[in-house]
Amino acid sequence: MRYYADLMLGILRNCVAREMMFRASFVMSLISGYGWSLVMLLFLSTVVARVQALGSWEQRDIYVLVGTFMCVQGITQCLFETNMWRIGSYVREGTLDFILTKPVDSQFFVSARYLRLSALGLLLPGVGLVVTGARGPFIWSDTLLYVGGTLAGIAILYAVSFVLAASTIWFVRAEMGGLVYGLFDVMRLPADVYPKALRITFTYVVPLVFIASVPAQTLQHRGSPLVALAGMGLAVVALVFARAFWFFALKSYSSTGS
Amino acid sequence: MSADLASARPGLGLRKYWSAAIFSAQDAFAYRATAIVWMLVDFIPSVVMILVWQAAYRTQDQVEGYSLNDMVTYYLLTGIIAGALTSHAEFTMNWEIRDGRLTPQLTRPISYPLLVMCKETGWLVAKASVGLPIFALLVFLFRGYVVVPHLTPLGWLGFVLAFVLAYLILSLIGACLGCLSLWTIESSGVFELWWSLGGVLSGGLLPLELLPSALRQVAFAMPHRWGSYFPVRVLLGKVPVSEIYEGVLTQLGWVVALSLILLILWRLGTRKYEGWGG
Amino acid sequence: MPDTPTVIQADSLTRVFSTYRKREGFLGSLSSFVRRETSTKTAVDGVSFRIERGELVGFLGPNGAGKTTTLKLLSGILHPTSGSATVLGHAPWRREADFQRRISIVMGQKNQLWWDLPAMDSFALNRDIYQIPERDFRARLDELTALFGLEDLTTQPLRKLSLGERMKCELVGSLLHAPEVLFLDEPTIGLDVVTQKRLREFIGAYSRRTGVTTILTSHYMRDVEELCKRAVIIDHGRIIYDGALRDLVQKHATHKLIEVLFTQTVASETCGRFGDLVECDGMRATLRVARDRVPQVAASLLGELPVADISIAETSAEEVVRGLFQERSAALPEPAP
Repeated sequence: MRYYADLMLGILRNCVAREMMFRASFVMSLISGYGWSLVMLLFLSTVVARVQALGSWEQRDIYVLVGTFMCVQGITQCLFETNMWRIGSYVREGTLDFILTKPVDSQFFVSARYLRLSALGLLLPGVGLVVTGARGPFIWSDTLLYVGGTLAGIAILYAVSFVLAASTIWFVRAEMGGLVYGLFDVMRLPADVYPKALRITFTYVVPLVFIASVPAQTLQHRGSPLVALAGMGLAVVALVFARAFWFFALKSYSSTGS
Repeated sequence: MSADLASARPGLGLRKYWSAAIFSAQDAFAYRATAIVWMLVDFIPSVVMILVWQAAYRTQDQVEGYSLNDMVTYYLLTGIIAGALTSHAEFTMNWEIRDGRLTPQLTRPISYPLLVMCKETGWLVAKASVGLPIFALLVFLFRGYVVVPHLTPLGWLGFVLAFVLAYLILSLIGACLGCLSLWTIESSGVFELWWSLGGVLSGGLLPLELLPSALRQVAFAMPHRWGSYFPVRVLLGKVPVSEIYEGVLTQLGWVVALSLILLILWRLGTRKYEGWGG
Repeated sequence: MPDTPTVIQADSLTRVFSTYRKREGFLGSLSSFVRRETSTKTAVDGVSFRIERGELVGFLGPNGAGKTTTLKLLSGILHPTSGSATVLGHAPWRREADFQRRISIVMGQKNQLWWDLPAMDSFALNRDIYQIPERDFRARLDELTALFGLEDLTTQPLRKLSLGERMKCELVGSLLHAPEVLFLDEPTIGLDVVTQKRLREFIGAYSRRTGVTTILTSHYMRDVEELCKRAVIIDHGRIIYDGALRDLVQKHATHKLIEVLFTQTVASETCGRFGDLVECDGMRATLRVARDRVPQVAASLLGELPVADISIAETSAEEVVRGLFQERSAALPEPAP
């Protein structure tokens, strides 16, 4: 896998060069990335301040939740956002053809080709919020499960957005790649808030709760470790599914042609 | 169109994606399907906030004078106003200015921004045709919690006036924002910040009484509250009739003030603009 | 796999597309969602050929003839509906990395390189993708830059270059890994005449120097005429001629073209008496005359009309090919509705 590591470095090099060319807009997108996250943080913390707790979530738990999501969002947007959006244009403009003739794994290339470095700016407030809100005492197992759970969250978020983006191979004219961003607000909520039906949907059908809510609970020493482990297992399933889906979509693309 | 993630204001949603998505959907069916899907996505923030409040009200009956039903209705109304009934003159202006399509129109003193506002109104009919059914659906889903407006005929008249003036105020704010494009082409980042802020100031995030005090004071000083917060409160029956008409007068005052600001910004900006990008 | 001279082989290669017919308007779209009408199009119909190492073959045909589809089948982008093809001993659609490292495809007016960055950065990425050793990369880059006349074009962002310059960069980028097989799909499309000629020269020079096996598709006759000894002419998915272009012209050249320049205006009806009028604008005329009648007609023209200058030329290859297509469309049955 040395090959892919080298390739990633090459891509990183190109992206840094590009971001440095457009310095002003880099700063702008850094700032604007904060906007909505902070707004939602304002909303949640105001509500909790008024009513003391949302279900079992107090103010500090909300900080950990929003902070975790900011980290997940930052990393996912940096690595994948631009690419998910572009998959649609690869299909429409036929540049997917070129990608298919290169000796690189097509899923890798399509997912990793561009980086959005400014999104990493979210990591700073994100980590800050998590550290502020974390409940003592420090328990190794909970912290490890948290990190694992957060990584699983990134994987699940990637899988969901990738499957949506890949479906443009069928819905060529409709842009699906950006759709997942509408769901961010849903992912940012404590699972307790949802009415039963939605909670089940977001746990078993489209596993959004595992993206931030479950890891956050784990760090706050609540929620069973089994659920956290289930999330990680789910992440593996999601990634496998995403890959299978991609090759299924490609088969369709190569069979029906452009 | 760059893929910068738009920080959205409540209900306004992911404006950039919407527009790009619409442009990329070229045939009628995909266009309409895309429009419907994105409209639904636009409503997610409102629904999410309602769900949060529903969970919050499990421990309390009243928050700052709002019952749960008041709150739910508040967000539904704010959502439809922001999502389907707000014009986005600033977007159109930004694009046209960037593309240099403005130069031929510079000969006319103020009619360009007015033109844009009128075009946006036309666009509104299209958006409302998709947004209103979704709104109706949401009202149905939350039907146990919706407050039915009880206003006297005088109250209703006041509401209609407030609503129309509110639309004008939001359009004028948008047009003023659009003038910013005359100074810098890369102003989309500023827009995004402004929308988040504007959304908060107009009461789209929280009823203004609930904002932290510094922000609350700013909000009560700015025109945004007359664009969304005020008409919604009228409809919720929280404003006595005399105050409705006082409010309408204040709205009129803001319309005049904003028009003047627009005129000044436009004049100053076009002088600066000198036909870039054309 | 022994190093056979046959690099590309196609046997009854066929590709059928089914398209859904959509109806107008919103209701139409809804109903076509429910009940789809499919119509099939055979883009490539039982095509067979062999290409040896080092050949530069031109695939010629009108738009929609199946040239691009054939190329996509040979490069592994599409799966065939039936039949087979082997390129460098591999089945292209299996997309084996071994195979992909030895081929390259360039399509006119489609970009593979990064838009915002100088071509050089995209080249560096290609180096990583194809794992080209640094020294080889540098050497080949210098060679190609000199050959294609790139100079400092590679340091400017791609979007600032003209279409012709971009195509040159695309070509260089796709040759850095020294492919054994090169697929060029309409590389000169959209370019002005001068740039087309320059591009052809570069391609020709590269081919001569490296002996890369190349398939070039085009609907411009000149591309094939100037670059390729062998032409494969495709129409409606079928090969209607495969061989040296020169032979084709000679075999079908039953006529010659007589070009006349007059001293004073001559009416077209007058010119038309002597043979098929290809062109006439008063002062000059071009006539198409059967080979054996040329001496007579020339003599009559000189005798009866005020001729300033006269010249006799072979039918152009373009004419021959056009004639071929006209014969075919006359012979083909009406397409089914």
